[in-house]
Amino acid sequence: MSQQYDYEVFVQPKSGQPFTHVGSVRASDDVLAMHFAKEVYTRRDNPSAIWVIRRDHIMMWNDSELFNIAFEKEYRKPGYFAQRHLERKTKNGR
Amino acid sequence: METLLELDITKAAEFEEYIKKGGVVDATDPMPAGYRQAIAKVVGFQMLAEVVGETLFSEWLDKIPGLKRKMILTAKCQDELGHAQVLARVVEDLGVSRRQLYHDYVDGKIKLLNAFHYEFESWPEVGIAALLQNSAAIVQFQSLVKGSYYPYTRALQKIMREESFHYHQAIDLCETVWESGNSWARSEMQRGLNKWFPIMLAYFGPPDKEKTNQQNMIWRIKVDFNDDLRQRWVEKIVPVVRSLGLEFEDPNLKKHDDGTWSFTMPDWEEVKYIIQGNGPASNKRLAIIKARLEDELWLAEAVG
Repeated sequence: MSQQYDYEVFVQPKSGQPFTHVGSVRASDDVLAMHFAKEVYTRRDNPSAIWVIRRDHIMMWNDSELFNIAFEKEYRKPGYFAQRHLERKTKNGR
Repeated sequence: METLLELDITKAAEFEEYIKKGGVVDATDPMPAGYRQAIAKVVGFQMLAEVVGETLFSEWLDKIPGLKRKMILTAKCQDELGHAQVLARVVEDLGVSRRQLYHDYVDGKIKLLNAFHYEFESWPEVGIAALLQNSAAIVQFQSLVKGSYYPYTRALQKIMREESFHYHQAIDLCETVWESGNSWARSEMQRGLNKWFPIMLAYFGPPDKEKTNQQNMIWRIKVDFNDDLRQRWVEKIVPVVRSLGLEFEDPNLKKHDDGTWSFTMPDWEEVKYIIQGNGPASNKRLAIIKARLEDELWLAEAVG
């Protein structure tokens, strides 16, 4: 058997919508991966498009520390200014 | 909540505490070796069940009355094999080869549940058996989908949608047989119910509430006790079957005021005996998969 690769499969349910990850297939090349993905994941929903991408071509970071930058930067969060507004009103007794 | 990356997963208690608090595990997360093996076993088992379960139906494809029914059943068979494909990816990501699983089944190292050791003896039986099987599978998956391993629960979500589709397909077949069939067809469907109701009661496994410290329960790979699932299924399926016009022959089948059901418990010794490979179609199922492995090797090699 030739070299096999794992491909992640993404489906776009309707034109204009974001692609959603639905699972994976194992195949020896891109075209076969596309056919397997079509057979396994699109059998009754008539999506507008699918993507397959070799898993080893996907870059991933999953260290939550990396995404904690907003921790001390409250002004990046949507509720921040509303909260300040409320506090100011309470302080001024209005 | 802490993430798995912050835990020392070599410490069993830390991992168990994480799971107990509702923690989940994804394919790329670190996980204890025992957990990895346990989840691979459950998923591999279901993968084989999908493949072998399909053979109960696909052997009817060339005998079905009517082209439309043939097409409908073909779609179901394709779905079941699609489920196997999805589950195969889950086990492969855990380091288990799908081919190895087929061989383990053929070599008798993996024994499937009792339901996969039988065959349908008539077309009306196919309908009622499919209805009982699908509804049982749905109850089981609705429980397993609350488990801790994300790749499996994601796969189950896709599978459950299609099982629900097959459930309606089975009801449609039963209704058609009951409305348009002759007295033979009706009595065959009744015989099918008498045969499959005990088989599917046994499908949920022997009572296990007394077994404490079940590791799969602690890891949330298994979510509910067998008896609870059995109750849920009986509650769901009995009225559906009665509304079709069929009757249960079990004299002990009764709903109590507290909402629980009593019924004749399967003979667990007999069920065990069947599972060991002594069912009416155990050898036939093995032979079909064995032949597929040999006959389709050229295809596996061509696409692999």
